[in-house]
Amino acid sequence: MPSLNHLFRRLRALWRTEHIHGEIAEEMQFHIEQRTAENVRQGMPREEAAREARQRFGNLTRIREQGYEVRGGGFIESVVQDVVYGMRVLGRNKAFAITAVLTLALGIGVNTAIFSVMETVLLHPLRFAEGDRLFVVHETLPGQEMTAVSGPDFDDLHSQAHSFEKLAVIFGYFTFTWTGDVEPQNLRCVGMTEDLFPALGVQPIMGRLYGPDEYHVDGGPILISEKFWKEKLGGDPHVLGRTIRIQGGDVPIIGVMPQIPDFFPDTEIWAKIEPELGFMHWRQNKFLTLVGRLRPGVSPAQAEQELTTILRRAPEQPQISAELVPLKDELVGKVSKQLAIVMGAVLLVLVITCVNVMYLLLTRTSGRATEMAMRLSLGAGRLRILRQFVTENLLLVGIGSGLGLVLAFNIVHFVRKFNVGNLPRGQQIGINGPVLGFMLAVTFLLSLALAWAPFNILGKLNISSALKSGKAAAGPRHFRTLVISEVGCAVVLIVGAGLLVRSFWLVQHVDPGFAPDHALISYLRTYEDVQRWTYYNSILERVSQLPGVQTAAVSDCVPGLTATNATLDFKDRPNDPANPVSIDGCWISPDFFTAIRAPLVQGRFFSAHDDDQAAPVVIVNKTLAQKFWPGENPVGKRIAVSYIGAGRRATIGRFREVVGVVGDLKQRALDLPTNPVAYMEYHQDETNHVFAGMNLIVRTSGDPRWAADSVRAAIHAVNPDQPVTNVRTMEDVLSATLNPRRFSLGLLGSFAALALILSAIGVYGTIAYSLSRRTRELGVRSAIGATRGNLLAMIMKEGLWLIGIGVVGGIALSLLLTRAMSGLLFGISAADPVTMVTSSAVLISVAAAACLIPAWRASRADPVEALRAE
Amino acid sequence: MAKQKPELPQGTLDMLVLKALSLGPMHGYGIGARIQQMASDMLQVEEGTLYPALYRIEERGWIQSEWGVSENNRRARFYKLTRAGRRQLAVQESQWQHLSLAIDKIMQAT
Repeated sequence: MPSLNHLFRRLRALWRTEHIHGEIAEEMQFHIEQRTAENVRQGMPREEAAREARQRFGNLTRIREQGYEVRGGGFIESVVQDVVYGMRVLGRNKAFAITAVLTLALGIGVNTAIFSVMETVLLHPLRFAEGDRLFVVHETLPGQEMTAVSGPDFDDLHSQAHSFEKLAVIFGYFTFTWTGDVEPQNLRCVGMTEDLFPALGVQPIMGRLYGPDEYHVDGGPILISEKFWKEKLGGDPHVLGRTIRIQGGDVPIIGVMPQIPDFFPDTEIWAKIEPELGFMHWRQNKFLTLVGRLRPGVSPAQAEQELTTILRRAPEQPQISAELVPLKDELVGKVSKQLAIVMGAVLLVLVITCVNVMYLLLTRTSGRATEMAMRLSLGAGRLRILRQFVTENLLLVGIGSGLGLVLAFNIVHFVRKFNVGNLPRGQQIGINGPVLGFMLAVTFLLSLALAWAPFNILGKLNISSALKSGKAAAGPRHFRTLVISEVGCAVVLIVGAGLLVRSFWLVQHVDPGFAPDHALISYLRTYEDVQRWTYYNSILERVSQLPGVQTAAVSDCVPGLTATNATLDFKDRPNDPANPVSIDGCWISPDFFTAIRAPLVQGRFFSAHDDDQAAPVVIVNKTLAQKFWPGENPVGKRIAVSYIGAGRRATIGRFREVVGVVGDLKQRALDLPTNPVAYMEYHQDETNHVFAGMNLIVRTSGDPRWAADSVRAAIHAVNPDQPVTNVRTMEDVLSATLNPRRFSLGLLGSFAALALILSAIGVYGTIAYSLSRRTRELGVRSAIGATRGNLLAMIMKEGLWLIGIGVVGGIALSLLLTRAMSGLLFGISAADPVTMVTSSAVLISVAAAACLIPAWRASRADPVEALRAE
Repeated sequence: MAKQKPELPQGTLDMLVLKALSLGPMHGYGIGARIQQMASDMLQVEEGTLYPALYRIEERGWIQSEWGVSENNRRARFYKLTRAGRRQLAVQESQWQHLSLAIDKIMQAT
């Protein structure tokens, strides 16, 4: 029975082969000598005695072998022999071995790394108990985008829905200002209702949650996060009961929540949402994220139905419906498609890698035909020889995947260290069990694929011709298949990257509608005891007097990055409360448009006269004017703008008169369509909400970065406790919004470049090899009168045919595959003809160049030499 | 060649080796000799085949071997029965008796 003991004995035998052979020989020698002595004793002559003894013993060599089969290393030993022999063979062909190993390492390493990113970001379950029962509830109206929920919606669902165990709303991030202990700074806060942590199943690591009564009290004690406790309070063990100054009031800390990596990981304060606050009572103020834990056994569809029924009971929203999204998809959904595309790209790289190594093996295996034929004729089984070749492949793949693993570790480390792509769960990415499993599976598949070359050649090996010529033909068909498939895969990758490059170029050339150069922006968070706009007025006054500063303005939006969702009501037409018109809103100081250099289209900009005493006014962008008053003069129309969010004070805001139209400027990222926007003068914000925080925009005559310090000083001269954060140039703001594109472009672009290089090497090698097999043919051709030009043309024509077939196949495949990328594109379709043509041209020229070198060399060969060659 | 001696049925060599060793430790040559002697020279054993058989039996753990000194002061490998080997011998003996009885009966039936 092959027990463990048995295995150990076999393994031990590997180190003692000589010794075991010796023992067997000695034992058998003893036997024969004993028999001889016995024979002599019975009267035989010495010589005959010895002969008879040997005869009785039988075939000594065979019996020794049989004995060794039992006592030696057995199967394991022959494997070891193969490995040792394989090592020696690889060592003799260093160039081959290094090329193959590095190619494999690259393919395996990149795949393993990307898979580990996928595995952590997309496949890991949430770290909540029974996280698959956690859902986020959205609302949808026919023909509109999904929205969040409002306070009244939540109250209805919370009190009436039975499909959820717990329901809570959250709202974040917003900021509180922390002063007193340190330099004034903004803390990132998430507001929540009572059931949030019970729904998630998370307990405080210290202290307690807010009590039910505390949710109805404004201010009061606070719950902090582990991150805040450790990073900002130095992990103070006596943190409970410690008092800190938040928003100008001293509040005690009652508890510390553990770090929840998947869920608002940057939270510093877990604040509460008080149901009494005014903005919680407006039905259309849909800004809250609703999270719930489904009751066991209730399906999401059932829950959706129940919630929809409840929501529709509210008279304002007869057509609304609820939609459940698993919490996990909500958290990682945005990147899943990107990562899937990247994974697809690296798998293509793997295929190209594999094809390259395959051709290497094919050429090498056919070069070893003599060796194979020799061993076959000496009686080795074909299976045994195949095993030898497969062992060599495994060695290559093994070393390759070892190096690949090292590469993957480095890539993953790099991704973690520099937070590449700003991925959710990015810090948890690592090489773990499933990733190693994936790598082993890839390695296994590669070995199988690579066994194809020797298997194929061995199967057709003709012993006598191989012994004569020293070569075995790997049929030209094999090489053609390799070239075509390699070129095809490379085309897909290049087209994919090309689509991203073109999109990126188009996005970069989008006109933002304002001048981002020479503009500096920073965020000023304030709190309630600041004296209304006189505060900002005095800051603006000081800053605009600084040398080198041309204009200064404040706004609650950041051009090219953010604006606030708002609803719009018209004076000149009936408004349907069930289908509110949604636009972007922005509170600005009079010089805002001058500071960012946005063009006036019609009417006028705000002036110092448009203050809280004057009649309320509004400026709209061109899109809004054209959308709602096509062919009419918008100036003089009256509209009301109501922000959606925590600051909303009424169902419908004050009506304001349109006094001007500004050219379309990008209020959100460059690759998003321009929304209708209404700009309002900040002195006329009767809700005072905007004073929670404003962005200060400064136009400078020189490099805006030089102004940063003096601007900061000017602000601190007004209020030393004012945190000045996010100081950056407007150009940086715009550029940062393109970062996700840069990420996917960088990844896909580098894989495409890799594919291009690998396929060029592949085409070069394959053509060169197949030409080396045709030396004689080329010699004959030139002997019967073909010129060098003829030969070159013939070879290039053959090569270009193959490349052409590969390109056509690759384009066809691209049309199928790149459709998955349409979400990442900008301004072009996934079947963009320009990209297709350019990519094909790039590949054809590179591949043709790779083909030209061996073709040229072959055409220059001396025909006499060539004819002698075989 | 004189009269044809019968060859051993497949698989019985192991049993004979165990039986021979049940009399005490012995080297390969001695084991062969013992079997010949016990069979009163009625059996033909190709002496070499004894060795692969010995290794196989040792591999199964029924016998153990070590180098020792033979009766004529030569270095020789001695085999001895293990406890497992003794049990195995008992099992094989009873099986063999059973089998041979059965075969006898069949062969004597008329």
